[in-house]
Amino acid sequence: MRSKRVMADRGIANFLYSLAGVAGFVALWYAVEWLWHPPEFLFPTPSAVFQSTKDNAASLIYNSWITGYEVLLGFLLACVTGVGVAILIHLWPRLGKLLWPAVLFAQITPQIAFAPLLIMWFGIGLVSKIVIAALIAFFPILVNTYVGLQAIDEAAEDLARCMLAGRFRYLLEFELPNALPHILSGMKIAMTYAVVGAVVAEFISSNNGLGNMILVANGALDAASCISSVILLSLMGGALFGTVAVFERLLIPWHISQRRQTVRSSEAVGN
Amino acid sequence: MLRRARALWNSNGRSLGAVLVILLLWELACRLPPIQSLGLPSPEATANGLIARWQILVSHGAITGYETLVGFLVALAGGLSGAVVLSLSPRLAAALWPTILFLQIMPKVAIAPLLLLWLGFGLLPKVIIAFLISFFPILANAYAGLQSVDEETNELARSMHAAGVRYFLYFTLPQALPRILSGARIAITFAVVGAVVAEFIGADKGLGYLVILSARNLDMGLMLAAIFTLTCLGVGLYGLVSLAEHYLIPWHISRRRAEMRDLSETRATAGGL
Amino acid sequence: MLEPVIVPESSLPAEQGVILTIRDVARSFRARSGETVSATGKINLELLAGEFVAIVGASGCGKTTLLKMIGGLVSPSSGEIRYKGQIVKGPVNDLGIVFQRPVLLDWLTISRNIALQLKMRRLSTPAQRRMLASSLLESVGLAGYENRYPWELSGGQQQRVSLCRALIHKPALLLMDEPFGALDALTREQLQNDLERLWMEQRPTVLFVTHDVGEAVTLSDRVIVMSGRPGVITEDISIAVHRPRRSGLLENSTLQAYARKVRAKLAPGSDQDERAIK
Repeated sequence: MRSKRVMADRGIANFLYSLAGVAGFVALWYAVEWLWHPPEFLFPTPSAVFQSTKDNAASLIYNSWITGYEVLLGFLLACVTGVGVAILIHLWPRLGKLLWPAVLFAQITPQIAFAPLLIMWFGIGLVSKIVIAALIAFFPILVNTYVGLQAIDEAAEDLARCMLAGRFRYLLEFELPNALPHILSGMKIAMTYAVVGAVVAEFISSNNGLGNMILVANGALDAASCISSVILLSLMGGALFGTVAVFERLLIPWHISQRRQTVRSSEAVGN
Repeated sequence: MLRRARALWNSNGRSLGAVLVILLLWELACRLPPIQSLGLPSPEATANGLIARWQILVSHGAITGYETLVGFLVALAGGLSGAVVLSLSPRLAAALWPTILFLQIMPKVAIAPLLLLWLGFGLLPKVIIAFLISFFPILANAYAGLQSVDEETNELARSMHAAGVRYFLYFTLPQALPRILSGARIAITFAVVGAVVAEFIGADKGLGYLVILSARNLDMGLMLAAIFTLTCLGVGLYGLVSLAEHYLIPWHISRRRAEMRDLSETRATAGGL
Repeated sequence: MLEPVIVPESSLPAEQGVILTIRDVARSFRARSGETVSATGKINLELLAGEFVAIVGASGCGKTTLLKMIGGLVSPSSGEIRYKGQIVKGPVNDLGIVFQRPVLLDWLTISRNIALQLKMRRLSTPAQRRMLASSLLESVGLAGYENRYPWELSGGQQQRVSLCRALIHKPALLLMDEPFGALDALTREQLQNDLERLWMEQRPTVLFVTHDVGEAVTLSDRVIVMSGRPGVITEDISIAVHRPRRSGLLENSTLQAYARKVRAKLAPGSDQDERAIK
């Protein structure tokens, strides 16, 4: 068993390497600037991007709010429908047998292809963005929830029946808690997808939001603003993803993905 | 081959039947006035449109397919080599980790406009987007796969005096292959999305371009035809990767068939979009 | 072959009467190919209340299927099973079950896992459940483990918890399907002792499926031998050795004699005899 000091040293070393990596990236950015002198409006320096962010702060915040709203609502819609449908086809296997292959097929298709159609139907406003985000986020949640519900130990069903548990109690006390890690894992993926859906929808047709900001900056040949919008979008996406990860930590602390120690305490103490 | 087709039919036949029933209902519904006002063409009209314009669809489809495939293949090569390099050098992995993480959480489609600004309307920016978007799932999954060689296999290899390249080829790579191919399946679907989105934003060729064009012209028939072709393209490319799996890792396939097939699909890291 | 005549000293008289009658019961199912496969042949059996009965047989003879039919988890294709006089149509009311895997719920603490048995049956208050779970844990040597999680325990400890869960509601019938099969020999012995002790306190009727002859002979009042594929009962041996049998098989020549007798019945020769008779 390595001493704690060595482990700490390794942690520090890794952190320093990471720092070096980031510094290297920024240096590379400046190097490109210095070597090829690309025009400012096409390839801004980090400082130009920073300046642009400061200048547009208010606009950036407003548009982030819009896009964030679209993403969140789309995500929530996808959660409700995804989990709901998954439970439905889990409870009725005949329905499941009918729908599941179709679901898998739909999951493979590029759902984003429907985005222009949906915008035609739902208009330019927020609703179409929410619907598109929900459409794309729907499938990971549905698939993961269904798989999670199915993935319970078969003996657990016998156990529950011996305990005189009815179908719904079994679902509530056994199947759903067991499926929770899968569901949350799917939600993390879905959140990322929802961001993409909202952004692409804004690209196609929109008056506001970060996606729209990017397009507008692009049209105005303002690469600095474009890049700062992209960075903000990434941070927002990361924060939303992180929120789901935090929920994971809170809701399933017992799951192997959330545990730190892998050595059973009893092995140290003895049987 | 026939057995597999039969098995496919047994598991999916009912679903296909359900879809056909829905199409039938859709067709019938389109005969009713209130539905017609929505502007959604019936399956019959769509099919006619498809047949009439098949040349356009194929030629634009080839463009999108080309963009997707090239981007995907470059991502495959890059992702695999990147994963090998990272697993060989933990220091480099630590150094690059923040950058990779950031690039993973960044929605790659967001830089599509910038790329179009830099590189114009041609095929290159689409290929680059497809590459960027499919790179990370491959990198993440390949890296995870390479790291996941279990200890006892390790010891077995050492007892056989397998070292260096031989160790990699005979022990590490086969173990990592299922994970790598999982990543490839995700990556190819992402690549299609990347190419399509890039075409949405700025293009004069390709199926994505057709969708936008038909939207502008309110040509629902063409739009649905283009969407349908896109769907076929996406599914077809996915099928190719699936086929590769059957040839490369048949042992894993038959084991996986006993478990829920798409458990691995959903568990594999999406690596960010 | 010795036929010992030692009177069981510590046993309370088995509570009057037959608790389980199995008459002409068999189970078959339709395989994917379409043909009918028999999991068991015709089974006839009677169990008395408070008996500890082991079912021994090779893999595939249908002993687990028989166990599940008795518990009401699987319905027989023919024949009838009566528990306390009533035909078994589903899991009977006061049933406890232990599988080969502990099947503990990862998201519940040890205490909650055990108390789940009572919670599902809507018995007792939460406080009472906690107390009962604690006392059971103490009796198997796991005092203080109430708030741990299953993954923190070893296999043997988890199986002990599983046993507690199966007994907390004082069931009249306890089914055990190769419960110690996945454990190492030392842990297995410990758990056999724990099981005997707990059983002697509560005296449920126990049906213990195993392929380990020594285990069967050590633990039970009666060993039922199933052989053949599909399996039928070929022997019903009463074990008249006093309890507690904590010293186990190795040190008791009487038990060894019984074990030999059982093994003889399990040997391939007797298989062929049974098939010829059928």
